[in-house]
Order: sequence, then structure tokens, then C-alpha cells
Amino acid sequence: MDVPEAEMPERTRLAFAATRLARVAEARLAAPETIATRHGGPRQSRTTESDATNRNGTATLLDPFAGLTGINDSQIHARLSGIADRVFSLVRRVLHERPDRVRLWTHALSIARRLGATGLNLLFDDIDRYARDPVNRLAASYIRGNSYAVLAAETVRAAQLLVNTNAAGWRRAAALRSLRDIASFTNRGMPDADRWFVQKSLDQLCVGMYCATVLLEQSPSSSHLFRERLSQAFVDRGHELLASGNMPPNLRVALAWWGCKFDLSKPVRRASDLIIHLGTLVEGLPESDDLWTFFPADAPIAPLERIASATGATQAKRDGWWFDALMGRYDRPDIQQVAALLPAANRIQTSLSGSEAANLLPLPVWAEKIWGSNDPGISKEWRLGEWTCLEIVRQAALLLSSTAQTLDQEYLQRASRNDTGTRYHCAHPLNFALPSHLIDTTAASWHEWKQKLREPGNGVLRRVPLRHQIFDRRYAPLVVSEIGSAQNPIRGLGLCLFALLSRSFLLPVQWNGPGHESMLRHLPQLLRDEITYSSATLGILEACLQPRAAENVLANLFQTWNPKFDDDTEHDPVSLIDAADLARVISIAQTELEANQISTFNQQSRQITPVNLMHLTDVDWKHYFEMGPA
Amino acid sequence: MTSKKPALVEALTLGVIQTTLDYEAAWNASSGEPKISATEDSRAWHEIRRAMRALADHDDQPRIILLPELALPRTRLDDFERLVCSMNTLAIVGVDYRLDHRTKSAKNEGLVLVPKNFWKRKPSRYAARVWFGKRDPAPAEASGFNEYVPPWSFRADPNVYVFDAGPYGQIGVSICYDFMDIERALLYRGRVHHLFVIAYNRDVKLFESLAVSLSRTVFCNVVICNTGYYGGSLVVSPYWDAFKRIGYSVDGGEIFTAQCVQLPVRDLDAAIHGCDTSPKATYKHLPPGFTASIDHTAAPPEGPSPVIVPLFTPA
Repeated sequence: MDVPEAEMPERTRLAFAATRLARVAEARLAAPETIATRHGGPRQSRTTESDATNRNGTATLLDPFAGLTGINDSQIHARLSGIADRVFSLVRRVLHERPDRVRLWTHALSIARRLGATGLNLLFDDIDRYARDPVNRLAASYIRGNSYAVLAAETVRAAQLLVNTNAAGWRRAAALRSLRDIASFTNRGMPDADRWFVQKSLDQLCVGMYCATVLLEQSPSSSHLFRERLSQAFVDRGHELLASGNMPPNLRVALAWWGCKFDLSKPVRRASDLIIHLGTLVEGLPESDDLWTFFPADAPIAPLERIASATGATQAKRDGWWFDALMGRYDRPDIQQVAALLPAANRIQTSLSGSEAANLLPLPVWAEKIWGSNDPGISKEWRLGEWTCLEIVRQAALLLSSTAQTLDQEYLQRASRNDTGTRYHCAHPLNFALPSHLIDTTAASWHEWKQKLREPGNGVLRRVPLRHQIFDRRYAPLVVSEIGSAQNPIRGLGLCLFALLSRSFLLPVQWNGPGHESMLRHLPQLLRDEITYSSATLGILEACLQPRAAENVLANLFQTWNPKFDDDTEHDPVSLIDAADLARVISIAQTELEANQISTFNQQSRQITPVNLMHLTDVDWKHYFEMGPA
Repeated sequence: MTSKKPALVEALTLGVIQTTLDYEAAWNASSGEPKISATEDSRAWHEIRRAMRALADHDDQPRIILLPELALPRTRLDDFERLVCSMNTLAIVGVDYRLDHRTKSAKNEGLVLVPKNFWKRKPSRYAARVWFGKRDPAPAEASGFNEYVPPWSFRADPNVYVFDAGPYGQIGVSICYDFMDIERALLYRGRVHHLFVIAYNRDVKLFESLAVSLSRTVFCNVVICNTGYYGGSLVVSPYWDAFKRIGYSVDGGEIFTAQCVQLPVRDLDAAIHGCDTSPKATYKHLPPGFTASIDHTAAPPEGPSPVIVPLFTPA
């Protein structure tokens, strides 16, 4: 089709067409059976299929593509890889005519990985041919450097896809074809790097090869698929860059970080195997402390010792970090030695290991006991079901709100003093305790359980003594200000609720580093992928965790001054003023749950979780929680 | 709680899909994990796409689509989400086991997909996902897990879910064997308009009689979406007239179908609230001791019914 040059310049048109074509090819690869029917191939009957799966072990060894896609016809596979190759050679043709399209050089490599096209050797030959013209020498070096860096990332991604058993078969097959092509490219030998930046990207490529090899080795079920190995020279160089003492420590840690980022694109609670492997290669370096800070629950002894004995600003407000680091392994002797180095860690160590006979147990210990009780039936599950989680957080909110101040002379004086040393009552789960007898006590009905939790009067939840309390920056508000400090505990309480519902007191690792506040927004969604709770609880979590909800409290003040206020907060979560407000909202959600509970025989208490599907997409929370415009 | 309820629609168009997944071929103890095999994965995905295309071609596009238990491979979750968003319908589907390799436990789950702009009737790009689990494994399912080396265990979801689908009514769900849980039926009584059962069930006749009786005692529409490998998908409403009660039924094994069926909503809601009285009753009498826990909406008969926007407008 002819498009006027003024509308779309030819070079843009070519690049656009190439990427569109890749999309179309992807759709063809995703629907291999249409090829089979279109070319009159006999539709596979069930008998041959079950034969193939019965001989699962041998069949996949013979042809990994059949094992991945479930299509036992080499002709179809040849046709599919033909489609991928045709698209890739078309992209190369565009690059041949228009080598100045740097973006397309980058795209070419990701297209090759996504479709599993072969021809990397040819692509890099193209760059060499391009460099023959003296005018292009520097440009060619630039493109080569860029390509190595992109290829490094694509290699890791291909390996990730290949070992991911939850990826679609055709994507894994494409990743396998692409890895084979990368292997054949590396087997040509280590290319020369004529400039420093090309050398840098080449090093990155070597680290990428190393990461890919580690990923494949860690997954024995997938490693047999890819039997041709990536060139040993590259992998060794990658290992050397990460582990050798001759390399500058900063470079080693930076490259390890680069490898880790591939497993951090989604919120995760623990370090993946690849991250642990890379981190362990650099654990001896003090420079790696910042890396391990993100993974407290997985940090080895050496970094823990360094972090414990470090002094200064980095240590401040980090008590809760030690809770994450100690929680799962406080009984190990080596960990106990580390914890002894730091008073805060020591304090957490004692409250975690606390005497079994103690009447009150810290909330995390209490909850872990119930989660870990390994009940054969399902008779105890409801003890930390949604209603009970809400009840615990409601009682915590009431405990914290009792200390809320009123707006009087004294308050203004304190606020204006700008005293940064003030310790807030931080809503960390470790700062609350519950009676241990509740874990095993019998409750014949919901009613009895409610009475036991709410007796006497205020409820069973207690705050731990002040000397045991810890402060955690992550549970504290984003903006620390004395004005409106009653709002402060809300976020911590929301995180407590999140932890109780998701049955883990570990927050996503990304949240452990400073500057990742946007992480909070994703927590309700993250939780929804693990378990299902009522839509009212979703509204509460959003109100506690969305930064907008806290900001709206101030923004709504504007409304009272300006009559022509245009309300853009309709679909925002409700704004909570203080912890008592949170308790009020929680009791609304609890009322809805209580209307849906029945107690049956054998002390089985059952709960309906009401989920309003309209509340999942757009919702007027203010109306729901009876707020009305402020 | 004062929350304004949208008026219920006259009838809900439901898309029932039966795919013909073969349990023996799909979950093989020799593979070491209860995960659908690659062959059955691509076959299932092929069938699901064909069925969705067939439903999209209907004049009266379904507002909710059902797929049987375990029908959707986990590898195709994102692709299926895109498919549902392009049709802009709700989907309640059975998904392959969620595996926890650390504890060697498997969860049998269903998924509700709500496209972001579903209620605005605008095309969506993303969908909200809600998972619900199975409480009790069928005996054959539980013993099947023990055949793996090392053995896998079944992880139960003790909760019972009610989904409020606004104008389409309250929806209860259960996965296969949970349908026999009498406490679940008790929980649902008076709380739902529809009970959707996604199943991989061999004893088709048993589920048929259960559906017929539960549609009267729970007093709701009961829809069984069984695997096409055994057939037996069924729609039952508690109508007074016997010939109207079974709205849709498939008999015979190894049948792949996709069908749109209409479920009454507004009239049934009136009947649940006891407003459907003799002598010209459309529905059966309410069972003894029945109390409705659904907010009475008192929908105006001329209430604004949602406009049907066809996917393809005729040129």
C-alpha cells in the first residue's frame, strides 16, 4: 500500500511493517493446529496422543518440541520455524536498506527471541558488513554494543521462559529455538571488542549466558530440553566477572543486580533461586549489603553480620527488617550469634523465641501457630479466616486510637516543636500480642468464638510492653508530619491486615528498599491472586494502602473552602481520618460477613464470602461505607 | 448498609461450554506433577477458542460464560483473559490445579474474570480475577494424587463464595464434588438466584437428580457445566410447569458443545421473595422454612434493561 511520504516516511513505514509482521507471526505460532487443518493434515486422533504421553519420558527426549507443544508432527514444527525465520529475514532486509534505524536493531533481537527465529550469526555478519564502510565504523561499534546488551537480556528471558512450566508451550518452544541459535552464535568464538563500551556490553552478555545456564541447571525437568550448551568460554567469563576477586567489587555487585532484576518484575516475597545464587557469589563483599537488604529472609550469615555490626544512619528505624530476617530461622545457633550483635535484633529474637508458657504471644508467633497447626480436617481454618483477621486489626486500631490526641493547645505546641525524635506507636505486628490459650480452645459456634475474642469488653488483643516495641520505617507513613499524626498508624494496620490475610508476614521484597512506595498499590491485587476475600475487605485494604486515600483527607479540606469544588475522588477508596475511623469501617465489613455465617455440627463453623463483582472494577466506596461527601 | 441496587434484568444469557478434556491423558502420574499434559493443553485451548468464537457469533451474546472444572490450562490464563476482554463478558471457569511444589499440594480452583469496563459496556483490556477453591476432593481425585511419586496432597478452600453480579443476580458456585455438600446448599439457600456447578463428573445421572432437587430446595436456577468427556451439562429452573423446568440438557459422552441459554432473573427474584402467588404461579411453591436473605429490590417492570451491544455490527 502506498502511503504518502509526508504521512509516514518510508523508513518508519518499514520499521512499523516489520514489527506488525512479527505480531501476526506470533498469532500464527500460537495457533499451530490451524496449520495442520489448512494443509489437510489428518487431525490427530486421541490414540496417538495418549501413546505419546504414555511414552512421555522417551518421546520428549526424542523431540523436545513435541514435548513442549504437544504436537507430534515434525512437518508442522518445520513450518512454524519457517514462519519465524521468514519474518526475521524480512527484518534483516529492512535493516539492510535502512541501517540507521537503531530501534529496529533492538527490536530485531527481541523479535528473534519471541518467535524463536534463527539467524543471529547473519545479523552480526550484517553489522560487520556495515562496518566495512569507514564512515560507519563508530556507528557499527555502537550497534554492536547495543546488540550485545540486548542479547544478554534476551538470553536470560529465553531461559526463564523455557524453565517456566506455566508458560504456553509454543512460547517455550520459541525460547528453545532461540537459545539454540544463541548457542550456535556463541560457539563461533568470543568476538573481539574494539572499544571500551563494546567490551562492557560483551561482559554483560557473558553474565547473561551465565544466568541462563544457572536457570537451566536449577530446573532439572527443563535442562534435558536444551542439550547443546552455551559456549563454555562465555559462561566461564560470566562466572569470572561475578565471582573473581580480580574484578572490581562494584562491578561484580552491579552485574549481580542486573541478573537479579529479571526475577523482580513482579512482587515476590522471597528471593528466587537465581537471586540467591547470584547474591551468594558476591556475599563476601561489603558492597553486596545493599542487595541483601532487599531479601532479609534469605540473607546469608556474612551479610547479616556486617549489617548487624554496621552503625550509623542505615541502621535507624530498621528494627522490623530484623523481624523479617529472623522470623523463619530464629532457632538456628549461627543466626542467634548474629542477633546478639545488635540490641534491636536481640530484642526481636527474645520476643520471637519467648517462653512457650507465656500467657501472651506476639501476633506473628500466635498466627504462625495456627497456620502451622497442620489440621487434617478444615475445622480450625476459620480461626484465622477473614472475620478473625478483621477482628484482630479492628482491636489493634482501637488500641492505637485511644492514644489519639485532640486538637488543643498542647497538641499545637507539640506539633510546632518539630521534634523528629518522637517515636510513634508503630503498627508493626510484633507490637501486638494475643493470649496463647485461644490457639487450642474449643469454640462450638461462631457466637462463642466471637465472645472469646471480644472478652472482656475491649477484646483480647494487647500491646506489648514499650521496651519490647519495635519501629519499622516500612509500616510508618510515607510523610512523617506532626500535623494529622492520628492518620499515621493506618498504613501499618493495613499492612497487618494484608499479612494476616495472606498468611505471611513477609512483605514483597521490592518494598524493603527505599523509594518503592508505589509497591503498596499492588498489594490488594497481589493478595487477590493468592486468596479470595470479600469485596468490602478489598475496600478497606485500598483505603489503608493507597497513597491517594491519605492525600484525599487533605484535599477534601479544599472542598470546604471552595464551593465550586470538582470532586475527582468518586472512585477513590474512602479516606480514613484516624485509627478509630478504620475500626468503624472494619466493623461494617464484619457485619456483612456475620450475616453470612453459620455454625454446623462437629464444631464446624462456615462462612460465605460475599464478593460484589461490581466492586472489583468501579465502585463508590464512600457510599458503601456510608461516608457521604465530607 | 444502604447501597442502591441496580434493577435486575428480565433474563440472563448464559454461555455453557463443554470441552472434551480426557482426564487419563491429561493428568498422568508418570509426569511427576498433576499438571495438564502438553498435548491435552493445546487441544483444550483449541476447543476453548472455537467455543468462544461460536458464542461471539450469537445474536444474543452471553453475559456470563461457563467452562467445566479443570478445563483451562494455566499456561493460557493470560490469553484467555484477553479473549474474555475482547468479548466483554463475565467468565466463570475451572482452571488446572494450582501447584505448590514446596509442600507438594494442589488446589483445585475456579476463576471469575470481570473485564474492567464490563459494567460500562465498553471494551476492556484488562480483567479483575477472583479465585474460588474446591473444599472436598472427590475420592477418585484424592487417591489419584497418591499415585504420584512423591505423592501430592489436596489443599482445601473452606470458604463458600457468593458473587453479586448486580443486575444479573446473586451467583453461588461450587466445583464438582462440593455440589454434594449439604451444608453448602444450606448456606446458599435464600442467598442466590443462580447456582453454577463446574464439574468433571462421571455419574451424570446423580448430578441431574441433585440439580433437580436442589433447584427446588435452594430455590434457584441450577446450572451444571460438566466436561464434554462425560456430557450431562444441564440447566434447571424451579418452574411450576414440568416441561419448562429443564432449560437445557446434553446427553452422551465425548460431545463438544457451546450453547447460549436464558435464565430467568427478575421473576425468580420475585418468587424468592414470595411475590409469585397462586393461582397463576409461574414457579413452584417455596420450600418450608425458606427465608430470602437477598435484599429485596422491587425492580420496576419497565426498569431500564441493559442494552445489548453486539460484538460485530452488521455492515
